[in-house]
Amino acid sequence: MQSVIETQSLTKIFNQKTIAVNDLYLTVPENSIYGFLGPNGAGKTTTIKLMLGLIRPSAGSVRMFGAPVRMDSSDVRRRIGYLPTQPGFPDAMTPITYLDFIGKVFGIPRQVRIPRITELIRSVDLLPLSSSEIKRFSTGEITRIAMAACLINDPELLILDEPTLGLDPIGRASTVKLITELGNREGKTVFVSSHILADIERFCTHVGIINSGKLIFNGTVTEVKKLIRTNTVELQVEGKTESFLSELEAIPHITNVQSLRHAIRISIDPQYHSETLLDIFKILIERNLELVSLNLGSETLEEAFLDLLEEEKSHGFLRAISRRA
Amino acid sequence: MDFYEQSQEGRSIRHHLERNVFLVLFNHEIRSGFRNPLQRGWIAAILFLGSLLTLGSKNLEAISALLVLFIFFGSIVTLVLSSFSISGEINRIADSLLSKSVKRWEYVLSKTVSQAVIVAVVYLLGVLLQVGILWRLNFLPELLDYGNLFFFIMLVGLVLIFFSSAGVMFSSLFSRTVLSLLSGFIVWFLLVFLFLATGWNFMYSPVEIFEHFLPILEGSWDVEFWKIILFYAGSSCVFSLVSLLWFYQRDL
Repeated sequence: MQSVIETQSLTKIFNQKTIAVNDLYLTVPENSIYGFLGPNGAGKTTTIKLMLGLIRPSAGSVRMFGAPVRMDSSDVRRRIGYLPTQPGFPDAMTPITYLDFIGKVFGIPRQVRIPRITELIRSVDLLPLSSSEIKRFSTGEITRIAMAACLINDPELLILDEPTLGLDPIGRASTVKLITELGNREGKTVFVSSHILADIERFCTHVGIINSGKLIFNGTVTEVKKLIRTNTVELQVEGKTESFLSELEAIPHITNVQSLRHAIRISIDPQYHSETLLDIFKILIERNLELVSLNLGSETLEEAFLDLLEEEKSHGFLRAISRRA
Repeated sequence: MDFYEQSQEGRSIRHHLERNVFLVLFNHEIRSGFRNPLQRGWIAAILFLGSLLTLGSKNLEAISALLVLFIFFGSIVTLVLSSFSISGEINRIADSLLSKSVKRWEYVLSKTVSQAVIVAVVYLLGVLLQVGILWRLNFLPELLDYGNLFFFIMLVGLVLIFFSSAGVMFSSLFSRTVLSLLSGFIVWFLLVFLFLATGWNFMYSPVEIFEHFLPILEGSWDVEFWKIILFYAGSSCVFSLVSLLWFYQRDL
């Protein structure tokens, strides 16, 4: 699969003091919805600004659609739609005049621009407000108009910086729906930065996790979950469990069985995770035991994310030393 | 959808103008410049005071009084408005525009040129309107050399463009508008207020130019005018170049 965004050893140091982005290698495949995760101050917005050529890298490079990105790469940016965290608008502009201005900036001819503006205003549900001044808009309405502006040039790549920040649950849901539709139905590549893990888990196909300017994971959502999957399974069963425990111990790839107060904790050889689980279920059926609950370890992206951050914190120093050696 | 290959037919001048990013930005800047409340207030003040002066003195003094207003207050208004032009948009509209198909030189040049055009339009409209009224009502001396009068008007216009370019340059150099405003005021203080307060003579000061209003009209001020013109026009070009070069490599 071709990559739309590719960074190599991307580094940004501000005022020779703060390392905002540190040796970042990132690949965003075509037609993917890429979630860029990280805590506040991790370097997400700086990375996006580097990608767009808004700031100059201290080292390394960015390539988009195979072409290098520089401060004046307007041809590359013509193919991108960018939604900043807090979009700014010129004073005294309405959605129509603003979108018309942005359309002109992109050099879109009038006969294409006008129908496109109408279509976008309708699709972001701003028709009743189309003649009102943007400065009077709520956060949700501002996000919607900014989203329309970043779609006016029908971009192949969308870069969205914290698109759900400050939105109420309804606004958040509609933004999530719009991103999912753009990625799945329109076939656009979407790069979305966020620290709201539930959103990312809902619509992203790929994920990159950044912490203190360093990319600690880059891959699919399934891969990130698999990576931190614990080898322990916790079962809660009802019925006669005495013989069940000894039968579990007899399964070849189970390394340990612990009987807790309300549950049974089973340690499994990670290489045979699925087969062993199947064996456990077979015994449950044969013994006619009722499975009350089953915990397969880290199930949510949130847990995966926190585990990775924790791991990075504890191993970061060791990794730095081993690399130097 | 490829917008850019569409609409092959009926390509008018308007079509080409709308596809030129610099002209689109310039047009936008001019419109928002004239919508600015400070600019509107200044235009209203100029029209009000200009008509008062014209009807009050009914002679050449009305023009010189209006030119004083432009030199001392017009330069400040110009500095304030141009100091906001770039630094006031960083992390807001500037990021938004420069993340689209806008090149940095197009952005900075549209600011510099539009600020200069706005200043020139407001100034020329005010002064020429006054000169026109005075001329129409036969309030101007018969022996007045109009060539020298328009030369003087042009010199003051250059002074205003100088302050406008300086403001845009400081606005490009500093991210904080307070700093660009402060730098602009320092230039104004050193070039205008200092010579007004002390009475020192300095050929390149706008105060000196104004004090020679009558000698210039009579053509009796013995000075190499090309040096003054070069100072103001050249400095404006240098300021524009500095703002362009600085903005080209700065982080947003």
